[in-house]
Order: sequence, then C-alpha cells, then structure tokens
Amino acid sequence: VTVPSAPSSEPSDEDLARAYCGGNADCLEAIIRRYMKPIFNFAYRMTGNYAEADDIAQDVFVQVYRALPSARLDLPFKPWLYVIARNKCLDYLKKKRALDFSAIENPDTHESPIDAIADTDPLPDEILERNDLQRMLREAILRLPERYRTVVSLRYAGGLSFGEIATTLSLPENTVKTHFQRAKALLRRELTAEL
Amino acid sequence: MRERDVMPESEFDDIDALFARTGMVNPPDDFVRRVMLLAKSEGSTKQPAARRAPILWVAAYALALTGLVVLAYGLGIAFATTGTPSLVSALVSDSTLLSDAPSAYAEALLSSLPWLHMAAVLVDLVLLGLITWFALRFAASGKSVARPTSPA
Repeated sequence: VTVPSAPSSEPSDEDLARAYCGGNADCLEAIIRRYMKPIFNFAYRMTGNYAEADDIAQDVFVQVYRALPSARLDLPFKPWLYVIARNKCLDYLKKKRALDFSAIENPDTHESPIDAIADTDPLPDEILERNDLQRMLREAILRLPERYRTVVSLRYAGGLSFGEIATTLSLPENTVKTHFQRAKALLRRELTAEL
Repeated sequence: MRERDVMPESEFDDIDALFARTGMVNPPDDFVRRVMLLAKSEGSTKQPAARRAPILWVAAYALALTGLVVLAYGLGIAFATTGTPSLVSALVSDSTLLSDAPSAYAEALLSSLPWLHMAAVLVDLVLLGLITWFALRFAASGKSVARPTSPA
C-alpha cells in the first residue's frame, strides 16, 4: 500500500503553512492539492458516501483556511489536519444519526464512485471486480465501531503512521496498533462471511 | 512524486492487499477551485469587517470623550448656579456650622447638588471605561492571531 508523499525537494507541510501565514496565499492551494485526495478518501471511508465526502473534505479545507493563522506552526501539520477532518466526519455522522437511523446508505441505490477511482485504463472485468470489492469493503468499514473505522481510515486513506494516528486521536501508540489489528480482524471476518 | 511505504510498522497481509487493490477515489475535478472560491469569498466578507472594527472603536471612544467634556462643563455650570459653592465656602469660613446643625446643613447641601448632571457624567465615565476595556481586548485579540495557539 503506497501513498504519494512530498518529494524532499518540495517544501514541507509546515513550511507551506508558515509561508501561507506569512502572506503567501498560493501556499493554501498547494496544501489543498497535496492533501485533497487523502482527506477526501478518509471522509469517504468514514461516511461511505461520495457526495458527503465531497462536502466534508471541502469543509475541512475551509476550516484549515480559517484556523491556520491562529494554529501552532511549531507542531506537525498532518495530525492537526486530520484532527479537523476527523471532527468534521464525527459531526456529520452525529447529525446523520440524529436525522436518520438508517445511516448506512443502501449500497444498491448508491451511485458508485467507480468513475472516480484513480486508475490507468483497467479492463472492464477488472473494473467490475474492483467495484464489487469497493462496495464490500465500504460496507464492512461502515459496520466497524467508530473508533476502529477512524483508525482504519486514517491508516489506509490518510496514509498516516501509527505515531501520527496516535497524535491525531490523542491515544497511546500501542492502543492505536491494537485498534488497528482488531479492526483488521473484524474486517477479515466480515469479508470472509460475505465471500 | 516519490512514494513511500505506509505499512512499514506492520506486516503486509490480505486486508492490506485488498485496500491496495481497491485503490482510492478521486475528488471531483473542480474540488480545489470550489474550496479556493469558498475561502476567498469568506476572506472578502471577513476582512472589511475586521478593517472597520478599529475605526468603530475610535469613533465610539471619541464620542464618549467629547460627551464627557460637554457633560463636565455642564456640571460645572450647574454647580455654579445651584448655590453649592456658597454652601461649601460657608462651611470653610465657619466650621461650627456642621456641628451646630448637621442635618440642616446636609439637607441644604444635598438639595443644592445637580444630581442629574452628576448622573450623566457618571454614566459617560462608565461608558468610556467600557469602550476602553473592549478596545484593549480587541487590540489584544488582533495581536494574538500571530501568536501560536493549540491546534483546532
């Protein structure tokens, strides 16, 4: 599992944040471009809904725009960003739960995000297979308890290390690792049952 | 772009492989443009208000200060015309006045005081104090934007 990260020649997140706070407005766009995909995917894993993930990811970056000038620039940027993302997702889930008890959308009626999957010309049967896998995985993740879902989403969609997840969630690193292993076991059970 | 392994801290297993196979979804093409538009629109509505705020504080402060000058002048005139100064000078020249008829003297003094003018000056002073306090707080919060705080 690999995620893109900034080449060493590119400015770090913290450098971009400092430059933005120093008046370089272009740096905000650079931050958004760097993190839009992992944040979007994190929100997508948490909600299971493409449109909601779009709204949440948008809210996250608007919040970054608001909060960055008063944020502590001496602390790592990435966990700070994911704290915002996680809070936005939890707010959304709380609101959704309050509005509708059938919070998990019906996968049969859900518009598949297959068109949005990053890919380079896969074959049709590969697309179908991957679409099925996506659906199964999405449903299995949505059935996970919130704390496990968060850890799994931060790990796979956000590409965070266990240390970064621990900082984001304010949990000891060993607890995060335990949650992760437990979440994997639950996912394995769910998926095996389905297959 | 350089890619880095995100699973160096645990062994790669079937679940990792599944996630790797299903890949990541792409945000809509106009995502960055939308966020930047939202941020810019928010900035353009916020900044004029932030720029206006110090002017409003200065205007309120100047108004309260001018009011204080006018009211203090009025209070002085009122003191001069109500006979309070003559009562005070009588006491200064004859100190037995207070010991012989204290209640009569106090009653005369209280009735001669321009209460309305005094109350107006007091209210204006309180207003001036409040404006100063809020203006200082506003100035301090403006400075704190550049000061680091805890992550949101």
